[in-house]
Amino acid sequence: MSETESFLLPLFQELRKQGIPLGISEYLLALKSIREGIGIEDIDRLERFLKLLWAKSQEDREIFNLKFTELVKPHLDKTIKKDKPTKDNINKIIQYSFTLKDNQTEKRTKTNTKTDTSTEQQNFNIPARSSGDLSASRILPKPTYKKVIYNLIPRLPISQRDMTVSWRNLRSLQREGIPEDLDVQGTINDICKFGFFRGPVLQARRRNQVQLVLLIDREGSMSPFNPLMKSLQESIEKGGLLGKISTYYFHNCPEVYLYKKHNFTQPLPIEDVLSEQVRDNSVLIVSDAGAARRTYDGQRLKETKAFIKLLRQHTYLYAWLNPVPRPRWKTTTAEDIGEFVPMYPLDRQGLNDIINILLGHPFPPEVRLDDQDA
Amino acid sequence: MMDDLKRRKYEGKGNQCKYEKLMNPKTNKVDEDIPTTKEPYIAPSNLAEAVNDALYLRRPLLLEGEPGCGKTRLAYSVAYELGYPLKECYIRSTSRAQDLLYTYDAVRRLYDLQEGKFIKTDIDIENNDAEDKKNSRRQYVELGKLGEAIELAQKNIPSVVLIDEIDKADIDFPNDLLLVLDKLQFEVDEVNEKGKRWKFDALQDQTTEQRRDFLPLIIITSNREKELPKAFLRRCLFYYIDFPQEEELKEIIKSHFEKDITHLFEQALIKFLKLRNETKFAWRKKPSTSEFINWLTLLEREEEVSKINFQVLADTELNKLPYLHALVKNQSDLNALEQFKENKV
Repeated sequence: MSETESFLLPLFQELRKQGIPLGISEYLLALKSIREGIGIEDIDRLERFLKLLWAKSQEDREIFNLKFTELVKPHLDKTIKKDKPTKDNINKIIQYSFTLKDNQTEKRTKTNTKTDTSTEQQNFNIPARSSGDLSASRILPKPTYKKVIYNLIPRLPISQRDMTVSWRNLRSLQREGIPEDLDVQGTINDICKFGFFRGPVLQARRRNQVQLVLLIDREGSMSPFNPLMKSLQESIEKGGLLGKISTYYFHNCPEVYLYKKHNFTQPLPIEDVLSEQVRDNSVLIVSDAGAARRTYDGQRLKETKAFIKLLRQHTYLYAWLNPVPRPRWKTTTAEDIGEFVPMYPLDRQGLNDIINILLGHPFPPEVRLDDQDA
Repeated sequence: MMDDLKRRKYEGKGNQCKYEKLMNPKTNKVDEDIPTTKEPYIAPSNLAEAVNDALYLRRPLLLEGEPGCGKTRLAYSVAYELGYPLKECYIRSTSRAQDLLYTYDAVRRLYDLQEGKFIKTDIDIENNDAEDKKNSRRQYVELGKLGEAIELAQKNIPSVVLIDEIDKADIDFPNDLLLVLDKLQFEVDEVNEKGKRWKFDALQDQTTEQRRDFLPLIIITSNREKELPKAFLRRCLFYYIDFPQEEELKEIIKSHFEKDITHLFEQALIKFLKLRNETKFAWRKKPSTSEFINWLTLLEREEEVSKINFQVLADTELNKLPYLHALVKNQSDLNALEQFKENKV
């Protein structure tokens, strides 16, 4: 039966909502272990045990700490303060509180099914199934308890982990390097050809051939996106492309020079970068294209077009990542730039589309660059 | 002998092994892979607790932490203290999940075949005595470390498996391991005897819970160079090894040098913590526990030939400390330290 559920479910759901990879089996395992007597010596021990099982990285642990104090501790504190909090007692109290909560949920589900309108009774029973219980516990005077909890953990519109999952697909495998694996088919062919065994035929292992050139817009309207950009760059590295990326920076639009450092030092002529680094590799341009400030800039459009024309002489594998959501591109330069460069917003779908294009999928039909001058 | 497997707990106090070392069923001797030398490893109580939880749940334990904080050494320490065989898999960038289970030496078999060495077919083996089994395909199979651990588990011998620096491997590696970590079983595709593949199975058609005491404890370390896939993370228990507090550091020193803290060590500890926690100084790589222990070893040697004593050390400025190269591993850190001026209070 779902006994201890009422207690930990809000926390578990919150963690899942925050993008921590957890499944039903992790939830059930926690409940089962607690019932078997693991992690119930005291509150801190319970917190450590659940953290071990339910947090999967250093950042996750921060989130966990926050949510645990917010969602679980009030329950435990309340029950413990009723009794004398001696150490020997705590164990019993936790177990007691588990059973207490069970009764409450049972009661609550009963009342729910019987009378839907009895809101008073609902307030009386501490509802433990939704995050609403938080407000309920705050109504009770608890002077010792911290009321305001600030969440200072940056939460991005798309988590780094999700981005990494997408970047993982940016790969085209080809055999490269020293031959070390036995090529069974090749060996058989060889024997058939010569009529006797000359020796095994070996083949190289398959390796990822993708080289990515990142061109990132910095400063000005791109400044607010700095944490997101940092996370994006890290996600690419951690997606397995480490050592296969070269990053250059520009402001608004690449003109004459690209910069190796994000503070616009170490300039390199665009032509050099294109001919040395790009050469049929994948190019990802990251910029808001004027969408962040909601402006239309004819000059910017013209310059961008010129750059894309130049870029096209070196590679066809290019795409544009716009950190501004798509609805906000309307009536800005971004909308027009999107007509000749495949431009996508920074979300799961957008990233996957970008990766397909970087791997050589055709551009969407409405995107095309005419040769007439703008 | 097996009765106490359930009771075996990890303490992490750098203590002696309290339990009987496990036997290897093949040789009927104490397993060779059990670490024999004591590991002077002090685990913070939370870490020891996490290890015991992982032992109880038999879920893989994923460890992260700054380099040099003792992620890898933990596995030795656990194996030594519990008396379990230790199976170490050191991951390279070319490692494949398959290699951890087994490798099949098809090339050797091909050569043997060509040289006319007698290789019998399955029918021959069936007709003849057991001696011929040696000539079967099985002899070209070499089990990997994880494969060995699963084989042991099948014979009711638990072990500790260390998968070191998993983030070094190709991004497919963790995904390929998923099923094995879940089911703890694998088949050797190349050995097909009477229509059945050669199979290793640690669970023996029972649940993890029923087999708990015999399953390998898998410890995985990562430096987070690559992000692990979600499905993989979901199955792991995660623990972040923090840099030890001052008191813990003292315990570690005591355990390593097997003596009480001398004046020299005390002074060195003060200097080290000052250096590490200097906020004005942006470390590229902060010196960690292992660097600290190396440095202490050097200082101790110097003291023996009375080239240095604790008072001299106390008066030395941070950037003039002896043997800085043992602590600072980076040219830019060294340069920055040289220009660094200590604030005299």
